[in-house]
Amino acid sequence: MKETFRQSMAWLHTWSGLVLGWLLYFMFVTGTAGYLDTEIDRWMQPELPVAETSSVDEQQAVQSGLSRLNQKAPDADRWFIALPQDRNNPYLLTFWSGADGNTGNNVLDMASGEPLTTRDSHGGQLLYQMHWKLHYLPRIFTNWFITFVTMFMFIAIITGIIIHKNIFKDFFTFRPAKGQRSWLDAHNLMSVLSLPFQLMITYSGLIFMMFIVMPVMIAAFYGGDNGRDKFFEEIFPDSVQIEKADQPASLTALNPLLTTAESHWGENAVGYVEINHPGDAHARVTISGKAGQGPIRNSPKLIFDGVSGELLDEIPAKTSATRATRDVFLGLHEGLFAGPFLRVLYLLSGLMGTLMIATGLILWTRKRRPRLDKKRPGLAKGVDLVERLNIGTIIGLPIAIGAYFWANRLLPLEMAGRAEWEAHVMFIVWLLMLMHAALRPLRRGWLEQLSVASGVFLLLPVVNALTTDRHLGQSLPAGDWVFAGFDLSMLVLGFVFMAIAIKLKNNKTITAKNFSRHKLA
Amino acid sequence: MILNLQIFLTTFIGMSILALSMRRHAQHLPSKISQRLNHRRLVSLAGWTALSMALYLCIAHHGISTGWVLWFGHLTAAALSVAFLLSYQAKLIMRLVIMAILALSMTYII
Repeated sequence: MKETFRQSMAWLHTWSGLVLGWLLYFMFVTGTAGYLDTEIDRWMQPELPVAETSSVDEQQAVQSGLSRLNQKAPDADRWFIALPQDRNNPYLLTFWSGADGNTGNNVLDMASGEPLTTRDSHGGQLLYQMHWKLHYLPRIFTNWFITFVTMFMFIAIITGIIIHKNIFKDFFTFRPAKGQRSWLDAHNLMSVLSLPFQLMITYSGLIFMMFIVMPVMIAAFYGGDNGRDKFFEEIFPDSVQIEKADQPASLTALNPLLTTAESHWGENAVGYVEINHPGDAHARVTISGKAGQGPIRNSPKLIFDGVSGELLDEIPAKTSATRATRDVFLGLHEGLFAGPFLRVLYLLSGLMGTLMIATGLILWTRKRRPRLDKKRPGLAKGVDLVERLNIGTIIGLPIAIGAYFWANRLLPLEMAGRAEWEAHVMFIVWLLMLMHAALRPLRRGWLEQLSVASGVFLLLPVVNALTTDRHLGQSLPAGDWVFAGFDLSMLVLGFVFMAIAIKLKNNKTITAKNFSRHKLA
Repeated sequence: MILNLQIFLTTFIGMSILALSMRRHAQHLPSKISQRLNHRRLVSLAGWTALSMALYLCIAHHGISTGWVLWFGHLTAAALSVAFLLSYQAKLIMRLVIMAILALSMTYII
């Protein structure tokens, strides 16, 4: 037992942060990148045109989608047409799924209704989804594992607040070039200055998983097997499904339904159209409005009979205060409601959270280096292991994500399984970086990986220019801020890694020999 | 866009004043000014007033939910700017606060 409460909390903070730090770093990096998922999607599919969301002819768009679906998947069980709306939904999309489990989707050109051919890539969506699904692991494991990790993140934040003496006095304190003191100041600054965001993002992350990790709550009130279904029907009335009738009947015209939606919600207010069991007697058409303003992004829905076109049900955007409470948390976490300036602020806080974890991991090694001596060989091995994992993850993971983007430009377009291989490249490179970190002397390991990171990001716009025509020379004059912004951000990242490498190289007090003993580093 | 600039300037001024109300950070200032800051409570109050004004601007223009989120975001950015300024260019702080006040007034006049 530790002697004081503060010492116990310090122990808990250190161990939860250390053991799970690298995974938390992965979640923060993919989460921050995932916040830009639609922009990354578009950069990774340069065949897509610049998105047009301002002047959308709803009826024409839906008809285009419908004719495409009729052509491609007439026997599907579910059709979905998403209209171009905003930054998060820039294109006209069709999606279908069959009873046999087959699915398919297309991006359609707004003018002609023809599908746009793009390279096979999972884009930014995959990075975003890795944030909670990780990769290569079964969902049944990752659901629980991620929740466990997030819970300890929450504990790490709270214990961090508890053990921070003088949290108010230290608020603006950052003393550079003072070794371990500077690392602690940096760790404190990153955490405390973005504390409201960190508390929100962690707690809301837990809320996402609540139905999975707290099933007993539902069972207690709704009973065992069917109770869970009943609960979800009550909370999400728009998800109620009707069985297929297995009697063919033609789908009603959709234009009158869209007109009804317009009379309820006004012009240009349709978000998507969903058709369940098209061509069947029990067909249902659900028309959903656009996402609401503010963190609660629920939209109202109109449910029509798919054969007669009769309006069966209207589900308002706000259903219950209980659900709204959850939706606020989820909306805050996803941050989709944010306008352009607030998005930058969200990104800033996300980056600060990532640096909070990185500085914490580095601080752990710096603190223990001076204590290394021959009597504690175990500690030396532990510090060495942590330091190498730090190099391979803190710098190695960004390199791997850079490699994901390089693969997107360099893998052959006609390659089978191309989308999966972009991800394989990312993880192979990460593994290589971890191996490099395991084998090189520590100071060289940091310098070399920082240089590689710098190169990977600085050269990416060049690779873009060599393999597509949507490079900075084209995107900047055209005002295509998705492409220009991406390339410019890669340059900024490259310069940041370069600056850090130069700073480390020039730091004369740290040499290769004293790197693992140096007290001031 | 102007609104975001106004909010950021207000939070920057607020955070700077709060920083300078602390003994630890006021030592960068010439002694005439740091003596005036001996009325620490008053100075802190001025700082918090500025931050509250920023909160009002956020909620008035963006509604309750988005307003609070925007305010916290600005606070983070402003506090980070002040912290880095204090570490690397402390002497600039007073000058920047005055420039911020001037810029803020101009956005209201124009």
